[in-house]
Amino acid sequence: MRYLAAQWADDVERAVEYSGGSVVRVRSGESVHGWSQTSRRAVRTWLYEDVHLRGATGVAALGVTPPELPAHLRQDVMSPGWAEGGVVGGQRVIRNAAGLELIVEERRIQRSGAGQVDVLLPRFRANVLPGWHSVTSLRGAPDGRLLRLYLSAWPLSQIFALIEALDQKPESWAVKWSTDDAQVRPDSAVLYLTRPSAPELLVLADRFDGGAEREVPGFSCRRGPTIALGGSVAHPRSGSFGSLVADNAARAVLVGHDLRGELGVLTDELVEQWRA
Amino acid sequence: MFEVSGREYVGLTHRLGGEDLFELERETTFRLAQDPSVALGPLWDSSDLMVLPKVEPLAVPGLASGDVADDEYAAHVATLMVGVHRQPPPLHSMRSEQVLRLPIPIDRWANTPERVVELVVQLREHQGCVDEITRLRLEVARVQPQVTVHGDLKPDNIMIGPGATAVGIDWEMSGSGPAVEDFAAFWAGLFVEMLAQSVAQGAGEDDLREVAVGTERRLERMLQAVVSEYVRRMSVHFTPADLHALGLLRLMARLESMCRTRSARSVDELFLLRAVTHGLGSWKSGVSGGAT
Repeated sequence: MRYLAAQWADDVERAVEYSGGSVVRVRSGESVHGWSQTSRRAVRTWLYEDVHLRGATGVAALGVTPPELPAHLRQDVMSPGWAEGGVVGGQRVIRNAAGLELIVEERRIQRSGAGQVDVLLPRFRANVLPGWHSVTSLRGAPDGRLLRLYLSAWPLSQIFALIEALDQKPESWAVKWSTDDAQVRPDSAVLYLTRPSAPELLVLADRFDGGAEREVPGFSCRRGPTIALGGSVAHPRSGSFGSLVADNAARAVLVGHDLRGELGVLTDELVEQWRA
Repeated sequence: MFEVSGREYVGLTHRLGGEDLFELERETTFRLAQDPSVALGPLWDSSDLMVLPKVEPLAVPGLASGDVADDEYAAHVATLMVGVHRQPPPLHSMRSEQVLRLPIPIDRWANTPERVVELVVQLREHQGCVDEITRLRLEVARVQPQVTVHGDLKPDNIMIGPGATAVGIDWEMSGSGPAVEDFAAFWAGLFVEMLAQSVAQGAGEDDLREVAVGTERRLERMLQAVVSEYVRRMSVHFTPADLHALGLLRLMARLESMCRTRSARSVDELFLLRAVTHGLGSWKSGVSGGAT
């Protein structure tokens, strides 16, 4: 899959250029000189925005919950593994392994014994990340390293239709979508899948793809007119696949490493994961 | 179509707090604009939009600028604070940002960014401190003189107005309260600003402790300069411990607010989180910075 690495590298080389020992952002003329954590962060941001997001900005503010949110997205899902956390102000508290404590109504608690409880949680979360809403499958959020399926500029109605179809499947998955109306991102919706469920759910998502070809994220592998594949690895701070690729590319650019070789490791892994 | 380009405008839809905060900001802006050394009056106003003169921020001196630039900046800030605190206090109390705490009601959890939730969980070990500081805040508000306070006087909200004097913007949190609240808001905002400067100048994550300690030292010097200038014209009644504690509460609220409204690219939560927890630890062990 080295052609994909070459394609990513070409995009990177169009986004930045070298000038007198500095690395310059072509879009704005900003520049950094030499290797440091600061220059690495700067170049990572440039590549993330100019290549992965195709010129959109990565900054997002909280969005408004769509008033037309369909009823099936407002359902609750069972979440196991919570512990009884006592009573605060007359209200029941539950606690998970990560230390999160929630005040919940009695109706949400399903006993499972030995101080452990299952809890009904909302499947829709507004602004789970600033500027992103999310919905989990009826079986809850998927576990482990997750593959990403980018859905480029899908309207909400199309995303909701996909979710309705996904609800007919037994697998766990999650979808997030951008709430930012001011700019159209090529990753405006993302479906997160486990590796075992990926082949079947990918075929299902294909049924909703079509029409005119739209830009997909720069660091992805185009699947169809509006769908692209992303890997399961992510940047430790941002949790983003595109940001991780941008970070590796930034490092290669700044220290003069083999860009195609660095990116080739990631594209090989991406393709291998989707093949499996 | 009204052209707002090139002006600072405050719209109802731009206020997360909605109509109440918009009305409060409008009322306060009109009242305080009677004294143009404190706030600027609107150029145009309607039921859902207020257009203000365009002003430039009062830039926080760079780390390499030295004491002279710091003193000049401090004098501007002190002059603005004196101007605000001398206004007759309004009937309503100042509003204060609340720090999100565990346990979180499930509905609020479902509408809170994951990063903020993670932050709240990480700060759990300091929850006792937060409770103690919150009690202290109520006590300070009870015993100290009530003046007009801005309520959110961070460097972002201090602008250069006509005549090169400092004026405040974003008055929606303002009301009557103890003067220390504005010092605390300034302390917390300056902390964030200075950390951002340190990070921008090449500090890596491994250098964090050094950056945080260096920033605290400079911050305390700057604050000392503001207080010195302030007390030449107006008396204050708070202890360094009050200021430090209330500042930490502000810092946490600021951090949450930044997590809620910006992306990871523009917020270095790790730096700020470490600074907050470091500060909380210092406060708990009685090691106060001592600005006044």
